[in-house]
Amino acid sequence: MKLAALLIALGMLAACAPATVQRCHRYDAVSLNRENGFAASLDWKNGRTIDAPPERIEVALTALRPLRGPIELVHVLGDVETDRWVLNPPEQDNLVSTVCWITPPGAFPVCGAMLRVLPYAPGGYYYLRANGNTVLEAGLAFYLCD
Amino acid sequence: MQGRAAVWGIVLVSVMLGHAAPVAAQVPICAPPSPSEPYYTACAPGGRIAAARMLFDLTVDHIFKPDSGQLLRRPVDVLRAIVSDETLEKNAGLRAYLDGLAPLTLTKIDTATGLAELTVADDARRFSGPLAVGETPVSLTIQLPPKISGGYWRTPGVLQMAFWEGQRAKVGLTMPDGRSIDAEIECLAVSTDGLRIVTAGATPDVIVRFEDCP
Repeated sequence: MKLAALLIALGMLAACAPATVQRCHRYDAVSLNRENGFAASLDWKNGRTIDAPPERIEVALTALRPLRGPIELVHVLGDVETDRWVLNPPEQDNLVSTVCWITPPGAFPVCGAMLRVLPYAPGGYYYLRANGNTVLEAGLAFYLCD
Repeated sequence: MQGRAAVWGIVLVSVMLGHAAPVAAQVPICAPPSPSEPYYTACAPGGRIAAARMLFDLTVDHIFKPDSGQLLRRPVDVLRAIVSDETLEKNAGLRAYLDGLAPLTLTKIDTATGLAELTVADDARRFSGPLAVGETPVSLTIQLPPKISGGYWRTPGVLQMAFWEGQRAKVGLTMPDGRSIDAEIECLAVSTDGLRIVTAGATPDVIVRFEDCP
């Protein structure tokens, strides 16, 4: 797997320019699963925030179908709940895995949840509320640009 | 026993990468991207679908086959899933080489983590030949240790795979204009956004984007 990926990547570099600084990066953050009680803290030291599209939060979910209702992701800073996103994964594909995007205004929020207060700092405590669904895991990532 | 294995896996990965990680297997194992550092970049708009398929298949195997022990992934099958038939036809030598490699074995530790291992036969430890991708043929060399091994961290949205020092693949590319890239692969991160390759030493890391292509 890794070898194939490597060869493809390096092969495609053949016609490319020298290495350059990139404006946008994906930051994988935490896995929420049964081993951590679907809750985890994120120590965010680089100071970057979500300000505008294409920046976003990615919530990749594995859950048994059919869903009984929305799944909620909660963000806590200190003792204060600062965000609660209601995620409605699309039903049409009926797949166990779904990737939701929580976006600033102006982008399409896959699963319907948006960032209301900007800039958004990713650090803090996150937990998942399954609301009667059988959620097996979730992965959080942040796509950020300079 | 399984819990002890998980702790050891994460400790080893942390030591290998040279940065502290909690002994709670729920955080990534590749070093995060560094916005101030230069990257080699490429773009593959079709890679998103292939990456999504690979991540989905791994999720199904990893989550819904919890007692199956080991998962196998053949390198050439992944190559077939990502590149076009035309590209494969142009790289028959490389395809034959990959066909001869043993499967990569993934051993699950918990929901998010596991160990990866690929045993390399003596006659498969070195490959040298042309690599035809697009219009520009390049010269490719691959050097593999007797055993490639490391740990992985996954979610439904990403697979990160880190390799122990001394058990990593080394790849060299020489372009027609004389430029060359020599990379020792320390860590891989595959998501639907793209592929990030963390290299050891001074070689810039690599990003292949699946979206926002020019």
